[in-house]
Amino acid sequence: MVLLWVTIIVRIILCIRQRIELHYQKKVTSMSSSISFDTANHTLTLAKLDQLPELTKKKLHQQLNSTIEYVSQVESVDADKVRETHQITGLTNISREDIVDTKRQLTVDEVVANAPQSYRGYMVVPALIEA
Amino acid sequence: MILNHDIQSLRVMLEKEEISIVDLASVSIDQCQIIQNKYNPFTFLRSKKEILQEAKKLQQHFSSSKPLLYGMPFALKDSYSTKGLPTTAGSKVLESYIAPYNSTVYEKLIDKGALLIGKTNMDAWGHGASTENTDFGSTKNPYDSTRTPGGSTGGTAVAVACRAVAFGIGEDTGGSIRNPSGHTNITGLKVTYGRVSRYGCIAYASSFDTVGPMAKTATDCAIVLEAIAGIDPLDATSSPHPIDSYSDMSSSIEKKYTIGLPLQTTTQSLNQEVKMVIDDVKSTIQALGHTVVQIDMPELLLGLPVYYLIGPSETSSNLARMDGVRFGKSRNYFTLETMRRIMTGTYALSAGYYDQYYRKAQKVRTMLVTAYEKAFSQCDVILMPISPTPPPKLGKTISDPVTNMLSDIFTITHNIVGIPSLALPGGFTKSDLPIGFQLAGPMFSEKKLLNLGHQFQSHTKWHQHSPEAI
Repeated sequence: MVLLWVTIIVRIILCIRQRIELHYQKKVTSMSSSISFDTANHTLTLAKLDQLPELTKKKLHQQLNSTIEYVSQVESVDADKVRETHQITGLTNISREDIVDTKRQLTVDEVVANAPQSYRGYMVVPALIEA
Repeated sequence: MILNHDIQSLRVMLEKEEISIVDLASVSIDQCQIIQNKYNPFTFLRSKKEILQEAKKLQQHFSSSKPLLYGMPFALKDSYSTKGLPTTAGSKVLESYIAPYNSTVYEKLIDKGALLIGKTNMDAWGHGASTENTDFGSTKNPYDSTRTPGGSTGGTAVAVACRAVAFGIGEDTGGSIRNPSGHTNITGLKVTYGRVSRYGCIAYASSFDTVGPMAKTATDCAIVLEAIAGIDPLDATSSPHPIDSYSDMSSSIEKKYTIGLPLQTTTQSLNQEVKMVIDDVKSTIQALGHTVVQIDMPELLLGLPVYYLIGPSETSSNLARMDGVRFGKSRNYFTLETMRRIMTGTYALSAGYYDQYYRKAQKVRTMLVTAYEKAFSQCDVILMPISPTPPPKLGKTISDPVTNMLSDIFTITHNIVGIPSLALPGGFTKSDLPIGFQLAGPMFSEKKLLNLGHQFQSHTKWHQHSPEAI
């Protein structure tokens, strides 16, 4: 009797979970076909491209929508049982001897030579914490 | 024109002292300056004085035995680090960047005696198929200067096509060697992923990027590949696979192959004149004694969405280092095209969309790998068009993101699965615009492709054409 109740409860939980997942999938799919300006803006912030004129942001929002609409074709492919391919070399755990190669060492001057701002051999970086 | 000769002939002429490497360098730099004014293929040309001094030094250094590429003037895509020289990747972000170290490919070429003449124009960061997405002015096609030379390695292609250098080096992530090779009537090889070291190459999409030769003939590409192939401790993805004697074409005549022609490449929206060239190529290949069979590869149509999810994802990560702090200018200097690719990648990798887009694309990538494995169980080599159209008019590709993507439809799957592919001149349109085709083979089958390319070029003369406008 207890076992029967446990089975019924587990089935009810699984059913609710499945419905929540389906609801979530639909939400994501509908968002993908038209990305909101807020989402596009947030994406620009994540990509550190947020210091752009509004007009450029609007254009990028439009172009992102058309690109995502095109690449969304992958969603309809049945690939549930397929494993991902991240690299095709077949090589694993490649390492080299941990030996200092002096020929490849750069001097401090060479290292900071391309920095827009440097000070006594250090690169000047934007402040991260306000004083 | 001296640089009409292939590398082998130039070597013979140098050995017989019919010409010196100083003369050769002088001819090359003069020609590069002429075409720079007409077609803008370079982002940076070295000074004539400096190049001639280097040629004289080479002459003294190698007075007895001469290295493989002794005195051969070459052009290098501006995505490769060259110590003490500008390296811009076609972007204003790196406009004033001077590389502090050499890329492996450049190091290998100068070790083999080659002479760098200049760094070539490209779509910024490799983002494009027309050499218009560059901050240094579009490169123009020498066959019709109102058209693009293709891209992203358009600059190198134009320098080779105009016989201004003996060979060039490109970088192919989705067709960037093959597309401009086809549009400018030269030969270009996209190598197996890992065949040539990527160390010192400014990355676009790290799991797709390949370094390869661009030249007048398949034999020239083979000679250059011999010089640059091989494992590199500085690139963990470079392959330990043995290097073949690529330029040995002696066995090429007897071998007869089965060539597969995917049904999907001819039924897609293919320009009629491109289709006619592919039909002619098919006939020539059959006349050489090979068998051409039709193969079915429906998965090819998934290439574009897979590429335009994984490529932008990887580039959004790679270009995160362009922060304008350690080197280069701020991210506001990226072009709109590059910003869109970074934005697409950031979106595909962000929480909530990773599984839906990036992970799904990696799964479909596996399906493409399987599709090619199946195809190579039915044939030795696959014949395909390079681009669905002849060289487009300037402005046409850059203005629309989807049109831009479609330029790569036939090339990208080879990068997704990592296989080599050789672009060869195949004919011309009625208005004299070049049309190329490509031969793709299994992993590390470069020798087979180059041999087949050599066979084709021994029986055709398309590769001997150069633009009349020079």
